[in-house]
Amino acid sequence: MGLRAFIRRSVEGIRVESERLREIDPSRIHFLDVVGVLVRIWPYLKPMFGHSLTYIGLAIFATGIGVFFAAVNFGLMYNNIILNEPMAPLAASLLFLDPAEWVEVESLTKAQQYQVIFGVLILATVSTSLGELIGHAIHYYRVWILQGINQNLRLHLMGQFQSLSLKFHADSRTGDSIYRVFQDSAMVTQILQVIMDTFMAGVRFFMGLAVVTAFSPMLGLVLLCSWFPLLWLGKRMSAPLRAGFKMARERNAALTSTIQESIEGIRTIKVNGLEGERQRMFDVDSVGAFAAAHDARVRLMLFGFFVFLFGVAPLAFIELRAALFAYDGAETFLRDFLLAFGFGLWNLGGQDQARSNAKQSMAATDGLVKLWGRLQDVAIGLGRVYQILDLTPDVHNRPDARALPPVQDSIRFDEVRFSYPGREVFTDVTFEAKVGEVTAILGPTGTGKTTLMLLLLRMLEFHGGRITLDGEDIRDFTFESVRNNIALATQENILFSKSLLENIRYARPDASDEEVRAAARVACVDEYVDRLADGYDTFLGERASKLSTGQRQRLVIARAVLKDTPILILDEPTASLDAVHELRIMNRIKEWAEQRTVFLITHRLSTVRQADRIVFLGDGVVADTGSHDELMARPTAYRDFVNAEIESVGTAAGG
Amino acid sequence: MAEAAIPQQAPARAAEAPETITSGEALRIIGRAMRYTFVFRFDLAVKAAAQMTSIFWILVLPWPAKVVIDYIVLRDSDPSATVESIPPFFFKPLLAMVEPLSAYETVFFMGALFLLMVVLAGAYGTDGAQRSSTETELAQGQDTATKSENDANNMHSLVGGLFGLFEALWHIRITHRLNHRLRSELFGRFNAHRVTDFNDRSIGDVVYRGMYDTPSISNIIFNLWVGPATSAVNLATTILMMFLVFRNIPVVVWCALAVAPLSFAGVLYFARLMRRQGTLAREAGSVTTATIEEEMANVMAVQGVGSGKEDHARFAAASADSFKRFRGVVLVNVLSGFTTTVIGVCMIFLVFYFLAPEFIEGRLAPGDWWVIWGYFGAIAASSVYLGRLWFSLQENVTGMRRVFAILDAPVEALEGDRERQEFDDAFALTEGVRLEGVDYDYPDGTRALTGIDFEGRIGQMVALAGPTGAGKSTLAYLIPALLTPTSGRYYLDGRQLTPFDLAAVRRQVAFVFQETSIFNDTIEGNIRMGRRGATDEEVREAARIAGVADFIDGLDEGYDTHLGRAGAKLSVGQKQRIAIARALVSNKPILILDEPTAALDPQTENRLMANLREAREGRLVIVIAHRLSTIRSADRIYFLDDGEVVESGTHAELVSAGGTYATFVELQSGRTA
Repeated sequence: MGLRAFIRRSVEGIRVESERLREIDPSRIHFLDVVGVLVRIWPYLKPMFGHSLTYIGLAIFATGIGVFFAAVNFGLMYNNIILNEPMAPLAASLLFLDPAEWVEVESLTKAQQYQVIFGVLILATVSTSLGELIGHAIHYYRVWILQGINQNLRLHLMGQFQSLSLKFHADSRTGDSIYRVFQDSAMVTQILQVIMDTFMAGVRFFMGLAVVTAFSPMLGLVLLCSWFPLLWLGKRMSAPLRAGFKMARERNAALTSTIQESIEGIRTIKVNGLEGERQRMFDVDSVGAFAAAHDARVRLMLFGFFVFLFGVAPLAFIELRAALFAYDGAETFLRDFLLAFGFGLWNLGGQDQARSNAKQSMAATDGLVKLWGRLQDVAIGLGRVYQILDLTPDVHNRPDARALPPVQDSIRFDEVRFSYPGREVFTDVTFEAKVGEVTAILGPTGTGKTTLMLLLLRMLEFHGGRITLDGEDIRDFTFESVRNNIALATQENILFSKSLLENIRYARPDASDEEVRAAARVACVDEYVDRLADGYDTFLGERASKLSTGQRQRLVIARAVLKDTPILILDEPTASLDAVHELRIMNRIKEWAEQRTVFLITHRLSTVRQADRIVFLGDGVVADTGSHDELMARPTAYRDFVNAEIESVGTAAGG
Repeated sequence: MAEAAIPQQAPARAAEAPETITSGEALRIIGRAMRYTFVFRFDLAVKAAAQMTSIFWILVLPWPAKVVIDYIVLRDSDPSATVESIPPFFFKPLLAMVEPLSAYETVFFMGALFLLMVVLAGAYGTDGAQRSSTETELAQGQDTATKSENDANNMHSLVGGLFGLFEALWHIRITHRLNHRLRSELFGRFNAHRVTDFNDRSIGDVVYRGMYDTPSISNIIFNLWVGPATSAVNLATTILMMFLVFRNIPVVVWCALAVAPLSFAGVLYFARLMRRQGTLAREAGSVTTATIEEEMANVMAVQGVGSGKEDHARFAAASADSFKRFRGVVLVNVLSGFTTTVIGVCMIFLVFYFLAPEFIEGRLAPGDWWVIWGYFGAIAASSVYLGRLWFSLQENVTGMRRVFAILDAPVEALEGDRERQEFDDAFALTEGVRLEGVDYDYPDGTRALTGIDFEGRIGQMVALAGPTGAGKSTLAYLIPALLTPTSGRYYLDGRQLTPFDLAAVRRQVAFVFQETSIFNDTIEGNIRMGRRGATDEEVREAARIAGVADFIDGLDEGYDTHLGRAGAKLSVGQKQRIAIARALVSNKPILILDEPTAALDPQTENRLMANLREAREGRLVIVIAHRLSTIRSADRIYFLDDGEVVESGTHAELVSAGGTYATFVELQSGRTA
């Protein structure tokens, strides 16, 4: 694979043509895969690239100022105050001192030495106020840049979560998604560190290596060869490290899910007295998460232990060998060159130089190998993010898909087939719904009434047949535009922890207060709003438990109405409503929906009677379709249904 | 649990409004966190001892290296004679060992010694600077939540090698046990919250507190026990050494020590700022968590109702805000850090100002220069640590406050004290329940129920009917004491319930909620939540009565089918029937069904109601319903409107009375027949 191909593959990721997660196998990730994970950060880094360069520039500048002034000041302190030597020309010019009196002299007078104290203080003040100020400020700058990169990735990830079909969401845990968006995506912030550390480590290693080689090529070779055991160690340990980090992340994600699921089902837990059981589950998960984190960190500690051991052994060899060179009074390799620095023969200074440069090189290598260790966690974390990003949503747009124009005439299901894993739902569903009509979808519990509507919304992908809008295949249109043409009042009343008004407005954030109120009137929400202390501003808490189910149901209907789309789907809109409200709302909706297509999923006969056309589902096919009168005229499943209902109510009324 | 007795329902949120935390409160929070560590006092003492020992390693290091320099590089035959300072006692045996060896032998010997020290303490080097510490800080992001991951796995060791490994392992063991204890306690408290407490709280907030706020305790504990102890020993040792060698320049020590009070005073102002920014950052973080949680859990609404762009924008805004709030924390850190640096630099200037003349006048030798600065640095570092201690605890205080706020919130007295309980564990309802003159107000003060008189006897089926929002569900919630009456009396078998009998009353009630909760478990596991001890036959029988057995048998994996996120693979009707099976399998004396048939087709409903009429044998069945067919078959009907019982009696009685109920019946049958 060429570099170009590698980069392209890294940046684009591997598309997975279904919504099944590609398992991350820690033992089958190679060096290039980890590099690929980092290369793939580029699209998120790109918008912040200019800032990143500025930051790196400023960081070098601030360090440079620090190093420069430290050198000058150390010279002043050591040479002029302690040793009383003449001042270096650079320091003199920085302090605006006359070189004739300060530089070109044998030594300084005591009075001059006392003046140097102030010189040092002035220079130190300048360097502190410049270097430290910039140094502190760029720390904030760096955080801002890294957060920007992280935000880019988070948004991409959230967008992907939102566009994955319901099939994906049914199988994943909410806490796991939270963990991926929060914790796993944050690993992207390591990119600057990786680039800078790698670069600096390279510079430091080769500078040190050059000096050591100048003293003795043999010691230089030892330094160079010390890479091999470290590389082996890095290779040997990366799979176990990744396995540890993967486990730690998965366990923590599971714990997050346990908390989320427990609170979501808190009423059921309480009423069944299962608090103790949930507590035990939590404790097991919590201990498990800590055990996994412990395991991962022990692996990292052992890795660090061996890296240090492997790195220090050659270093000790170099240092002791150099000591023996000095003992023997041996010549250095680049004798003539090093003579200028006073190191023609090995001596105390020479041994010290060789030692400290070897140390610097080795510290750079150590740092790099340890960075590699931590990078395994970054690779696993980002791997978990890319896992989601690599999924091709089941429902996706064809390349030539266009926006759906308002439906003028009809919506047709043609031999539509669909199955859930392990369960066939539709074998052949065929029917037509006309604009301006109310089409009721009926059928025994579990026949797939809601599923049928999810296919129309393209929240699930059907496996065969066609759905046509005004005769054109629904897949020729973008699914976003299809969804924008449909409003769904869900059977389970899904509300958000926001105010009542905001919950209605959710469907169309730019709707005016007037429009929201109008929609509220259609759904009879206005009737109970007045009785709430804060009216439309009432804050609805978690799952809006302040409202009764019927009140929530009306809110959900209002939301769908507000969306103001050509197609409206009401999924059991009146199940929790009393007869009076049901009639009132259905009448208002029919009035409101004159030129629209309304789908009505229901069990209630009284509601069905409001429909122009009835589609009765049974056993994967449309059992009957037609108007109420048509279907009552002959023996149909629908007629049995109606009779069962009338019988029960009839005896009720009579009893 | 003592204060949890009287469930008068103050909104839990009021106790934790984002007002600024005072220093006094911060102190109390820290003190309270301290108490959690008391059980770990032995472990913490060992940890502190280990950390102090590591000072010893650092002191030992330069001496063996000195042998190499003096014997080998400088070819000095008797190093002890040239050593200006007196070699410490532990150095003498080493000198004695090296004495008879040749240069090459000495080098081998020292090489072996170096490697031994590397293995033992991860430290080696002629200047003592080449050390490794046992570090396991993992990469983290730039917001409070990701930072907490490292806090939860906090460990700290100044040295490496086997000693460092031991110290780090010891430390992480304490950290983990402490964190687990705290978050387990927190989770338990959440479980014991009244259901109404969750009205104003998002699940994301609970997740945030459990996962990201609790680790705050790690730093508090470390900084209160181990850090100061080590610093104190460090200070004492260094000052002692300093005075032994340089008795005549106390100014160095005084200046280094002055850093402590000065940085304390210097960053004191930032402590308040940090508490404020820390709180804001954590709140913004929990809002982001809540946003993710809601969008994931409600993905159907997000895709089907919302316009995707706005959802995306909503998350983007929440996430950006939490990042921004965290930058507030960073800013306070930067400002306080800069202040400390300025103070430190000023002290260095001062020392330099006093020290320089000593060298100019020749009262100190050039070799003393770095030694003195070395001691100054060591003392000043400890001083800075101690001076900033208060400040560095503040961010953690904000996290602990959010944890303690939950631990302090009133909870249900599930394990109330047995002395005051009216009903013991063996109690089983035989007659029935009765409510007398019960009022109920929501936590925000809104009146929900007024003067309710209700009675249900074993063997009866009681229906609650009435328009939407009349208070039917609220009344039903009172029966298993999910809500506690604001006033009025509640009797089981004629004996009045006390606030300590929650567990007893819940053991009597099986409840099918209108919006059912399905857990991420198998079908079997979900049904068995009603009674863990139920046999397979009982589970299947319950499924049959609930009318869901055929569906389950038709699945590839039958009862072992995993239901996934909140039962997303099931239709609402299927979920409802599984919930009914769960209630049936529990076999409790009272069965409450809140609109059990709303999502069911008429045939299924008729079958189910027939089954339930059978099931009332030996049971009290309470049904909330809108359907006349369901209501009419009840033995007694309570018709509610606007929070009051308007009428009660049998179907026949109420119809002939010609009141509200009769109108309701007319409306239903008139339209459907």
